[in-house]
Amino acid sequence: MSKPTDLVQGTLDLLIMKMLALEPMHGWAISQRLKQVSGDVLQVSDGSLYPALHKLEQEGWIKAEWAPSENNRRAKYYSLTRTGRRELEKETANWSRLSAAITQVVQLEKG
Amino acid sequence: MRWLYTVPLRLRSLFRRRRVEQELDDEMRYHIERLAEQNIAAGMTPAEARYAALRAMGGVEQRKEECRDMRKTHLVEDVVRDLQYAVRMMRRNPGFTLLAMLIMGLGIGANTAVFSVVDAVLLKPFSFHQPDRLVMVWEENTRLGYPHTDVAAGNYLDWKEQSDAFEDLAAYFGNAFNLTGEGTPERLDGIQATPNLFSVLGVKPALGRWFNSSEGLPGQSQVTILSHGLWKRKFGGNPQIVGQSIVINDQPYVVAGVMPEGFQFPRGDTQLWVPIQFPGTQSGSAGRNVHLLSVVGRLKPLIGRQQAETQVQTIARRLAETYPETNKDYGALVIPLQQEFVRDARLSLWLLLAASVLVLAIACSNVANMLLTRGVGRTREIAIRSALGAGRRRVARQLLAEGVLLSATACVVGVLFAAASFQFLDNLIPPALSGAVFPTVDLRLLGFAVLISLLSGIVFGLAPLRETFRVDLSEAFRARSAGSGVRIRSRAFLVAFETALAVVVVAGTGLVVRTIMNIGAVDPGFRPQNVLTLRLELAANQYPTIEKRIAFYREVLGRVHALPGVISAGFTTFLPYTNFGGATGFFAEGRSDIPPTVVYRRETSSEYLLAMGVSLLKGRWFTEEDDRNHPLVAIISEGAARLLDGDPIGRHVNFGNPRGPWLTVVGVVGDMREEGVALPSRRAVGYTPYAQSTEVWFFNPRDLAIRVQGDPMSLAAAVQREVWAINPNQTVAQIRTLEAILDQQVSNRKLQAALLSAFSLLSISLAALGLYALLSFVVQARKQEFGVRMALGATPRQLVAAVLRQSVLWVGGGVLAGLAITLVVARSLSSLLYGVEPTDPLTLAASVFLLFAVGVSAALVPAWRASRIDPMAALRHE
Repeated sequence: MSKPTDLVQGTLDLLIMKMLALEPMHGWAISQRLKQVSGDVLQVSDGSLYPALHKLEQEGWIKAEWAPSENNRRAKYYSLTRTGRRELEKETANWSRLSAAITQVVQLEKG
Repeated sequence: MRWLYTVPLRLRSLFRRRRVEQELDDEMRYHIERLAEQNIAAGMTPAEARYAALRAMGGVEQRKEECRDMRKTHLVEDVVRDLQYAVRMMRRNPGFTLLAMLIMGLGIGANTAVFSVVDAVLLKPFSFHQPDRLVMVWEENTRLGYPHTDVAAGNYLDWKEQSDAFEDLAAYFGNAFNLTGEGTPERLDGIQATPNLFSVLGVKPALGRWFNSSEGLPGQSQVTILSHGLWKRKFGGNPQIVGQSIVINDQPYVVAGVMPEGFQFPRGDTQLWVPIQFPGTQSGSAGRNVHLLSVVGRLKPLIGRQQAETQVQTIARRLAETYPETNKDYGALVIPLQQEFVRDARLSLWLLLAASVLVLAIACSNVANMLLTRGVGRTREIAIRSALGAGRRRVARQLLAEGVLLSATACVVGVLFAAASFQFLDNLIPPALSGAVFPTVDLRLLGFAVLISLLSGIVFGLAPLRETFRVDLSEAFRARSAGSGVRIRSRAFLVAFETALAVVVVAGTGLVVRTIMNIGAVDPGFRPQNVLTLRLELAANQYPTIEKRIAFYREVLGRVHALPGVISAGFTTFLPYTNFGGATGFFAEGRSDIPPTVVYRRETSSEYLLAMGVSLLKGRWFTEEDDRNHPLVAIISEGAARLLDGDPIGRHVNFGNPRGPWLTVVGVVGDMREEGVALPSRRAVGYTPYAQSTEVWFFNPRDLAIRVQGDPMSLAAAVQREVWAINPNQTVAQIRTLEAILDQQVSNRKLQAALLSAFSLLSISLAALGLYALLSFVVQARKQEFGVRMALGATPRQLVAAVLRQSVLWVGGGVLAGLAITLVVARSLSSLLYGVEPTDPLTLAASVFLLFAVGVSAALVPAWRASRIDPMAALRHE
């Protein structure tokens, strides 16, 4: 069994939290939105999403409640908690710094 | 604030598991359904769509397990489930479980039992306050042959005054007291001690008070402190006894206190303490002649033993200069109290503990082997569990749970086993401590048992793990029978390991057993059979003159002789082994060139040496004629005779006084081993007839030896009656046979050997069992191969040889490794051995041969089975 995702460790968490910061969503919606937004560049396998969600929930960054979904079935909606929001800010800042640094290095090589 | 979210979540997943599981299931299903719908929309058939959706999830059950792993409560749940599962596994295999539990129980029990004694004797502190700061201070005069001797009162007083290394120094000496007026008169071993003894030891009486500093001076009213045992036995545990008066040595003594239960000092049989003080006049040369005292001190904080010793030695040197007549060549030494009490019991206890640890290691590897063998049978089960999403760690934890559960039950078995063995372990406790310390089941012991059980559980629980994880899943499912592609290397290693350890245990046991045999074969210098012995300590106030004493001895001997069955009877100062003291200088007339020599001095009646069965080498025995109306005579032992050149008979010697009066040597007898049967006596012996004694002193006879026909103990009551007929207040103590005295010399060694033999037997059986089980397994696993070989023309004999060859290889490797280990570690045993080298070739060869023979016999049945394989049946199986 190969690793289902090539995402940098921890990035999936960041993506999920970012998306949940906009509105509460269930797992299926998150996976669809990920594909849409990233234009299929980020291949998050359907399976690896749930362990990540459960981990974030257990950490207390996100919380879950059951609610009727758009097709009138019950689904588990996740939303960001207050501490989750703070965590997201921290992680976003981290990510910006990291990606800026990487971009710089990569461009340096080009030039 | 995170806990606001997380704590309810944890509780929920713990206590509403079904609900949480249901939600997990719903969540996954929702996703799969949506995915399938999407696939259908993309044009797949519903079945295809669903299949594709499941595949996209990458294994639903594995994903679920990953989600569950995110709940932090996993650990608790898993442990519970693992244990439940382990119980189920154990119940499914009751035979296996019982055997494994028994093996581990014996291993843990042996360790726990031995540890209980080690803990009581060596590890637990004595009942004294800060016992590590208590030391004994001795004098030494190595030039005179005393490397370690009692202290003179004058020197003690000077040490106490001039040294600042000690908080305080107390002195004491043993004495016998006659307690009368409370039923039968009784001779009690007691201590006369300086009043500060109890404050030095730091132990408060259970009732009453310590001695106060003015008590014990001559002319003061007499007081005593009783041991707990004496108080219970003689005074019925009456708390009103404090302040009352009792009769000791015909004088009134006020009971000042009762010591707590378990307190004993300096020996287990010390029953009372009486204060004594040494007046300042003793610091003159008068108090330096008699070396009588034991001195115990409490070191000041931060003062080490070495420092204290240096200081006392400096004082001793100064005293030797000031009082050359008495103190020349006298030095001092300081020894920790615990070392003094435990002596050589330390090494033998560690030996037993080491042996029991080896037994446990063998037991562990045996059970590990059993689990490995079973583990192969469980390959399929574990493969299924892995396929269902169990990670390696989960499987490992499962195996661990089984191991720990097994060892936990074995722990219970072991502790029960140990507790049952306590009554047999008494003899392992050194005599100075017997009665004060005893093995108990307490928290320390339970902690020890739990610890070793856990460790062993982990060790053998994880043993099958490596093997199990080598298994390729797909292969495991394809394999038809357990055992195809068996790897036995690790199991063969375990068997060899067991054999090696067993060799070490057996060889160690062999050495100790040979030591006992050697000691038993030692000629003690007397014939111990059919001799009754007893001690009649004469009270100074009842027999104040030597005439009265001589009359008493005569009358006792006369009455004893009249008893039926008595062959001979005689008095002496001390029987062999009962007292290592009573020695004086040995001088010969006109011979100042004999190096300063000390001999044991014994005042005896004419028949004593005869009754003991000592051999007369030259001259004659004492006779009834040798009294104060006849010339003074002496009999000397062979060792003393060697000091005199030429024929010793007729030579003039003296014990204790270089200026005479001279005694004429009339006989030479063989040396007795006075100090212990395993020790050649350091000193020779000089005997004088008691009838020529002129003073009431230490050397007056007290021990009586009676050689009889038949069982000596049957005469005990009659002898006692005769003594009481002479003096109803006379104490009669230590009634026992001479053989019993001799036997006491080896009783702790005998117990030690018995335990070691049990350990050996256990290790041999376990090693044999391990080998047998492994070979049976191998033969079973190679059934097809053997069948093919038979079909191709191999004879049964060749197959037997093949199996035996394999076992010889394993056992041989183990035996050689064991031999090497033994050669390395046996040296540390040398001080426990007698008459046998730690690397004694005979013992080692015997152990090696024994293990080898046992190993090969264990292989015979599996080998025979290999030869009986029906090739047709074996091939059909394929």
